[in-house]
Amino acid sequence: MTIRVRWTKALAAGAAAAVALAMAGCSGTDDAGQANQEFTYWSMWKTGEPQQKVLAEAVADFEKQHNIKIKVEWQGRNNLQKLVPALNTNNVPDLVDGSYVKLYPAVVATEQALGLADAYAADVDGKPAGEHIPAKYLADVDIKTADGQPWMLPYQIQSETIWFNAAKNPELKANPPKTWNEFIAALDRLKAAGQTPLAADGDIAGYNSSWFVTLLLRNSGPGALMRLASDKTGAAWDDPAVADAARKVEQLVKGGYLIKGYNASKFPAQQQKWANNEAALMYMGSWLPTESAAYAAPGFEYASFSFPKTGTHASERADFTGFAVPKKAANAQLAQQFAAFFLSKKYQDKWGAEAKVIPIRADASIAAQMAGIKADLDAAGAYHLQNDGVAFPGYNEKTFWAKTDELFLGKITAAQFTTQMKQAQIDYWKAQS
Amino acid sequence: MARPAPDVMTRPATATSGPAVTDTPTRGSAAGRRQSPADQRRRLLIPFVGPALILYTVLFVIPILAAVVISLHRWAGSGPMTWAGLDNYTTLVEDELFLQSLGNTLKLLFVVGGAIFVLSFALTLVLRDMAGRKIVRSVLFFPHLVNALVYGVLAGFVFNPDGLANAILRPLGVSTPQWLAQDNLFVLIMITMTWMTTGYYTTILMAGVDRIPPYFYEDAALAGANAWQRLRHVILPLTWDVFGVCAVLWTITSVKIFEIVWIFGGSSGNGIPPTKTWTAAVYTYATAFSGDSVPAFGAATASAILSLVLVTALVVLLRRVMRRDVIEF
Amino acid sequence: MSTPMPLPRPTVSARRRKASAMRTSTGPLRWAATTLTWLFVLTSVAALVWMVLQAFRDTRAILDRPWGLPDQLSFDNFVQAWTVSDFATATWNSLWVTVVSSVLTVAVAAPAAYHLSRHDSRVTRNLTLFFVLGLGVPVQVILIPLFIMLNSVYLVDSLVGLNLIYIGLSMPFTVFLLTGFFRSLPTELEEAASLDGATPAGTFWRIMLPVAKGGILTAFVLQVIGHWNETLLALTFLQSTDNYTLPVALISFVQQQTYSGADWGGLFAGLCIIVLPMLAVYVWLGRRLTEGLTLGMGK
Repeated sequence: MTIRVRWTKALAAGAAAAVALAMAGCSGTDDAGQANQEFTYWSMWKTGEPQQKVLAEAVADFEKQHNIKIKVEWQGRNNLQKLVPALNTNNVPDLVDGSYVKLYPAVVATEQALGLADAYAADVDGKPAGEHIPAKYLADVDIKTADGQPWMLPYQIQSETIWFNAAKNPELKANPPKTWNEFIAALDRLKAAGQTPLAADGDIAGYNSSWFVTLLLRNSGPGALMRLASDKTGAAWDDPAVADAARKVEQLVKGGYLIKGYNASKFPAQQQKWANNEAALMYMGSWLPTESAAYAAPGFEYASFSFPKTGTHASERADFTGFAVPKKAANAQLAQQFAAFFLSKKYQDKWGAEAKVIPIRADASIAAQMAGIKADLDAAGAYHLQNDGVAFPGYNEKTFWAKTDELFLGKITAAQFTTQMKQAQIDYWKAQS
Repeated sequence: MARPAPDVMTRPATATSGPAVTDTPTRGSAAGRRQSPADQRRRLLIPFVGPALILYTVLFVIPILAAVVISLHRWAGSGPMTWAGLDNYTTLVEDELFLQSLGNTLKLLFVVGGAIFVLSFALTLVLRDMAGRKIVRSVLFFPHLVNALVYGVLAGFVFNPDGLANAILRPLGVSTPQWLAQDNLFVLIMITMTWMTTGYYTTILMAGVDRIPPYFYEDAALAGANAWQRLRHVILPLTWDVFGVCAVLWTITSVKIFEIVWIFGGSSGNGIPPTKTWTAAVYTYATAFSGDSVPAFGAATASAILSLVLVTALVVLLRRVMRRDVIEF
Repeated sequence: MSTPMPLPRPTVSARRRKASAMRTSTGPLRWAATTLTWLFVLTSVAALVWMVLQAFRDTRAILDRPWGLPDQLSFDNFVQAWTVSDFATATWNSLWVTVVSSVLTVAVAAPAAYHLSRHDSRVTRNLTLFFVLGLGVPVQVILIPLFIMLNSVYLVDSLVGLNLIYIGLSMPFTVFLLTGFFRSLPTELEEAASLDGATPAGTFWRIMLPVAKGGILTAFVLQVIGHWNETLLALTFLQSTDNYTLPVALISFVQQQTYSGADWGGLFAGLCIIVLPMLAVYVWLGRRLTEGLTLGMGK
């Protein structure tokens, strides 16, 4: 069927390619005029992923209940990169999903995000959908547009933690290190026992920088990196708390705790080694068990402990993953309904039990391997975002990550890192003005 | 790019032997005999060139002009667009990362280009009278046909610390190199690039050498020229224009190199490659499509246009340098 | 004058003479160079064979013994790649995009190149320059404007749209290649044809096209290769998984593999699906390609 359509179009293109541009323009009206019958959803999940299976079930149920059609494109994590150019056009999906850090630059910074008051107000299991999102997360994570409406309906929390195999290192489960010094002592013990203490895939800049970022947030609390990065004079880099965070990263590198070759491999090589018991610990997002399950050593028992404290600050990373609706969406109403529908207990339970990641609802089921990280999240008094929410144009990938890479890969010392970052940041802001 | 292909390529064919007759006089006499053919041909300009011209203009030239306009603005890819004048350009010129990326592009252009030409030329000489030259040439050419993605995926498998390369080297007692370390990555990309491209240029150069009429060699042999002298006085001068075409082609290609870098460093396209390996094209793409921060399309297009200016300048320069009296044969 | 005149070719005896005149240097240097070349060729072939063999093994086996041979001829990996990442649809899309774009590119570019190479005037010289200038433009420059333009006529996320883009963007190179090629053809044929009273258009269709078959086929094969492997534009312009071409499908397959457990066996199968068709085209048309390529370039 589609083949024939394509052929006729091709013939038109061949006959007079230039004219075809205009002709096809006239014929391309098929996606208009059917509002309320269907809507389009560009998903961040790929067919076959456990998360996709849960979502696909919800899509099918929703279609049946409302007698409509949801046109789902299981695009994978590039969905928002594809969204940005599409936002200029008339081919805009009605619903997208992604993590906060990816959604923000794509739809919020471009002022293309629709306020989702309707979705928040929609009834889910007897109360407004918005009330299923734990208030303490909403208090710390700003997802409001200029008019005060939330632009995102989260269905999942992503956090990060220090993972280990409880079957191999039960002592870490019994007595997890709580402070940085205890952590270093634990690393030393592992090393003395002949284990490689830490695995890391050093080719992913975001992973490398998370050590420095979290240490800074432990030293100075949530928002510290945002303040640091926003400082146009660069003076904030002279702060002793910043220097201390950098020195602690240096301590890890110089201490020889990291797995050999972490600075010269391609993801997921080191993650595979970790799952194969060739290193004890890995600082990674809450997705690690799902991602590494296929190649984990037999009997691997996922367990985790919270990133060690350096003082009084003890926030946990809580990144929302959720839905957003572009302002230009033609079927925004339906899209919002579906977004709210997905917060039903049924799918949230499956999200926890089957996809084995952390659902947003506090009352949803959770997989055993997530129990530790969920408990840490529940117990935390404050929350921060991945990279503390910093997303200035080019700042991360051109300035900040280039330097955190060098620090974590042992190319520069902590002192060089702070001086070079100070200068780089002054230059960055000068260029932006 | 002031005067592109024509003067390299205007010489008549006659791949065989004997000096050729240039076509201009004959054409002149034809026009004199009967007035119509030239006129008739002129009338074919629109039906023959028209479609290509329209397609090219609409789908290529107009977008370039639009890109120039975008480069004068600040723009996140959608939403409001604000006028920035030449700010994007002045910022770029001062941006160390952009200059470094441009430097990498130049490395690809000159270092890899140099390696390719030395290797291709050496191979051409070796293959000239080697048994099975067709097979060898075919095998050498093939890597050029393979999507760069494939190399990126394989790179992880081969060059990881526990990868194939080290598995081969370890038993030999070689201390295993850190292939994929950030400092080595670009070198690795350059080597892969050389390997991918050498066969392509070898093929072109071989054709250039092949069409040297045998009597030149015979004359040279009679005059008692040794191998080096034959190379210096016969082969090089007679293939010089082919070198010129190759140099222009490589200049153009090298400025666009993107995929291989993107795939090699960035965990096969999942993340951004380390800035040390960026080329100008990667800089452009990352500025617009990184997905990790607010897109800056104005700056991205500005950097692309600067690359364009660079290519143009280099091609003009190259053609100045490469220009020599073409030897007719 | 309807029978095409064969291109003058060196006679066999001329070739022999040439070879004997050239074959004088047989030193250790030459021997070493020849050996090195063969070694290199063998390694390249071995690498390809190795890649294909791995596609028949499972991930554990590949990681444990990268040198091992497959235990049995199991197509599981291919089935996995073919179904899970829907390489079947992607292969069809790739074929369609590649063939249509390549045919149309050559159909549009050949007459233009013929005219530009055969009619020397200020207009044609400037037009040639205008086309060739496009050779140096990095495609990233025009990505966004092109996207907006095509979208305004509903051709984003459409294979027809991608066809148009490929055709437009191939113009500089194809015109450049074919202009050079037509210049290398002798003009005597047209002279004779015009004496016989053929119109210039008729001359092109009946006389020049048959003679130029080799060059045109080369241009076509080069387009096929280019379009088959093109990634960046396809990645940007195709949004529905139904429209994915092979490189885009491969990228999403790679991502899926890294997010849900690295399946090297499946990955190798994916690589084979993208590489082997190129190998087939190459074995089939390779000689044409390498020889034709040089006709246009070398002159």
